[in-house]
Amino acid sequence: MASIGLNTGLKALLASQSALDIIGHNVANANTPGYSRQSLGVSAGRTLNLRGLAIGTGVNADVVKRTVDGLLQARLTGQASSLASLDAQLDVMTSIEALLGEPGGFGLSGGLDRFFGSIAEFSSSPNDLVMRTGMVQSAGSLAAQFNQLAGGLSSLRSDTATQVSFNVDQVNLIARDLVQLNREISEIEASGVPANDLRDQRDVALQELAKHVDITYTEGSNGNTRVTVGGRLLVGETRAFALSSDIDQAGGVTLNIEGSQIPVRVVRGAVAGLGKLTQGFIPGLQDQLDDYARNLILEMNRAHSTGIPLDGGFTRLVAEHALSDQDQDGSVQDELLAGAGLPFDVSSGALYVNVNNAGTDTLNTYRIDIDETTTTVGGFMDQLSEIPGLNAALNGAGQLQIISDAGVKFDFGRRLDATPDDSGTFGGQFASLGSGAEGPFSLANGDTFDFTGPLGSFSVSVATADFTEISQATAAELVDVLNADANFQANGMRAVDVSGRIVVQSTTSGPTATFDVDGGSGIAALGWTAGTTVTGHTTAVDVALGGTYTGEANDLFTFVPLSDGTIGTTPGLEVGVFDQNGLLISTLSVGENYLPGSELDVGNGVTITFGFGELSASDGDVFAVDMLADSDTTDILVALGMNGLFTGTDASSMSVRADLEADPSLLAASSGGASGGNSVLLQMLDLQSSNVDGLSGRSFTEFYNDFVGDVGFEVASTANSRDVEGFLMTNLEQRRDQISGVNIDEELVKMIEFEQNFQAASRYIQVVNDLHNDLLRIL
Amino acid sequence: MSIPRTLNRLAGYLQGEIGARRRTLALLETQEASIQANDPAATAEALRKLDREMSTNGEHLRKRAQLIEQLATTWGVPADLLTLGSIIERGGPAAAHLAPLRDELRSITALVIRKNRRLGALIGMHRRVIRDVIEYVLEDERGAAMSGAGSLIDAEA
Repeated sequence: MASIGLNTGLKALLASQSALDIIGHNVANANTPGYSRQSLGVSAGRTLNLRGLAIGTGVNADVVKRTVDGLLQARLTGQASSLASLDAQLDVMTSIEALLGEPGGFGLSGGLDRFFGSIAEFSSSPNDLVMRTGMVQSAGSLAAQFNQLAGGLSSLRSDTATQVSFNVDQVNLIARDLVQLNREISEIEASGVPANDLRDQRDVALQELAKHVDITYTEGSNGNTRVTVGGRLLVGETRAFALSSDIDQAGGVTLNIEGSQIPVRVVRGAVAGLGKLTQGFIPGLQDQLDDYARNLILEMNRAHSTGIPLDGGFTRLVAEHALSDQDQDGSVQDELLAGAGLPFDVSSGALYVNVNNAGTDTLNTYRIDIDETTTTVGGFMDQLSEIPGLNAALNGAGQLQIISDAGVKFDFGRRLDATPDDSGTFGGQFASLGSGAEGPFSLANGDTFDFTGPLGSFSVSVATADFTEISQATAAELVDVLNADANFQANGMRAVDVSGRIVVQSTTSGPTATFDVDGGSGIAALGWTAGTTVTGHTTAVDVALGGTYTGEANDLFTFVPLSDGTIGTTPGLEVGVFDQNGLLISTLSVGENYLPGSELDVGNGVTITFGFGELSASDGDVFAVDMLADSDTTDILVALGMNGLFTGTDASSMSVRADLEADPSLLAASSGGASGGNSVLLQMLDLQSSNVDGLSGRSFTEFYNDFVGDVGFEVASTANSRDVEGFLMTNLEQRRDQISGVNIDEELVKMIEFEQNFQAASRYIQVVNDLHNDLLRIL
Repeated sequence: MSIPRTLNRLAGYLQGEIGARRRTLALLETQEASIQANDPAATAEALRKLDREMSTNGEHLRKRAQLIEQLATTWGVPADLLTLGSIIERGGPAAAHLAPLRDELRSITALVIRKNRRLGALIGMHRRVIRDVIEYVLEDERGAAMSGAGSLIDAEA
């Protein structure tokens, strides 16, 4: 009995000491990440049957238990993945937000404001060299900001991709640790002892792993944990399978796992979060920034390429962008102009080329029509070279260069033809008869035009072969037929096409110059009648245009007298101005109350003066003049990179044209060529607030605001999500701490309570002892 | 007061004393169990009950001294020489019923003393273990125990 009693007491002591040891272990690991509180599992000792009595044998300390909730642990691991994904994204996104530097004036918006501000200043003093230099410098600063932003985004994308690789390395390290922990746990637990601390370490490792990639894990009966990533085994019973990452040029991340050819797809964890940035968010921003820069380059160059430099024109222009041999047949010239590898689109339309010949003191404007489906590089070059004084060729790099003859300058400006009646078809000195109406003219094969000229009567007949469609004969086609006729030439006559009307003239001038329209089957189609005699005038009406055309679209203004009479003399004499659609847009009174040479307002910024002379509506007096809002509706100059403000095609390659930086006088302020003109600058200024097709109809300011706003929204949205996920994580961690964590205060209080109780108990031990000894004394 | 009546009152005292020892023994067992179960609250509760039990002891002593004094006066012997054995012997048949009560009280008192000693050893061991743990937890970076220098924890800090 005595031995049982001693043993019972000893077991109780040992159990209590174990419990206190565990308290000490708990306290010591209170701050150990992932540590789970441990407690002693006790049970009553086996009952002994002694002398017919069932006698207890005290308490047994059976096992040290880990206080964990497996489901909560799994939720913590999953939550760690979600949180790490958002943390990784938010980290990079915050860097992007800082890179944009908005608001604060250090970002691109400040650069744009300064750029447009410098244009505004320069537009007020277009001849001021300081302002001119200032604008070039601000353009250079803006381009540098684009470069910096593009470089920053590119670096961030590259860094983010590097972070993916780093995370993958971490995954492999942790996977190897897990294999080792699995081995140690199974070895220890094979002897029946729970490996609590190692299991805690494994839980921590799993949670750490989940921060990099989303995982699923299961524990086998032997205590080993198998981990899979995207359905592929990462940690097996005895080994880890290496995860690897491939990052393509576009920043796309592909994960592969050893032993499998099928890429692993992860949706959470830092790798997934970073992958979303490299594959979606950052490239999206880069594309938007490139679009923005590209459209800025396009629009600015559209304005500038048709501008005229300070010295009045070019003698040599070399394209920035090379034309390329797309079909690899050894020749560039057979390529379609719109498909010759130029970085900007070429569309159908017209390019106007102005050629100023100092020797002849003439300024002529030539129109080159481009059809994006038919015009070849060679065809375009031929059209350029056909312009008197110009030569177009490709250099060795495939860049188009235009070189003018000595004494000749050229430009692509929107010049207003100051002396539009070059042919003298509007009250000129030549005998002149116009068709009175625009073509096409309904002719038939064999129709004749009978004239009497200085050398006598002759007839010109037309044939079907002379026209694309003879019943729809154009003025140009008929002009060619007439001018090709030997009798027509011999009699000193010529035909001209004035905006679709045909005008037949004598080549001599004055009252002695005359010809008759005798008849013929074709004259009715032109509105002529047989027996008409046309005579030249002593004085030609001097017509001069001024101002700058401010219309939004290219137009053709046709001027015709509405009756016969003398300018400044005949009462009610008027000149009608018609647009290219034949609509009367203005009526100019040039009769008795008009002082010849005084300025009349045509409209859209254009003015006109008429000199003294006779006008004849009956004889079909007419002149026409192009009104150019855009002298390059094809964008061929922008596509070639000729006379642009900026070079490059996107945010990273954008810069100011090098020769412009070196010589700001090349900066084109005007498109009309007048000194002090600022039409190009005003067109550029309009771009700040006008809608741009390439930016989905938004202005540059709106687009950039949206761009910055979108980034801010994404960052805020991600931050909000991170806060929510962080709150959930904190909540789960608190629940874990409640279940598994060690509260050092509680543990100490518990021990101090023991200490105090034992102190009190010690006193009672003495009291009880004294009392009973006293009692024994009387027994 | 007659001797038989005094002896009957002594028997009542013995029965009360036996009940008190049994309660003490039960409280010591409860205390031991609470220590083994690491339940400080139960230990504290057992201590409070033991304290109440011990507080009744004065009344037992006074009653016992009064009865023995009366018998000593009656028999003309010094009170401090009387034991229960000598009282039973002097009382003869009138004190025979006291013998089993004395045996039972002796037996239960021996049990209490043994339990008390064992509990004393258990408490002593626990105090040393707790002291070790607290010293370990609260020792400073140089390994010096802080508990010896003052209060353990400033709970309001």
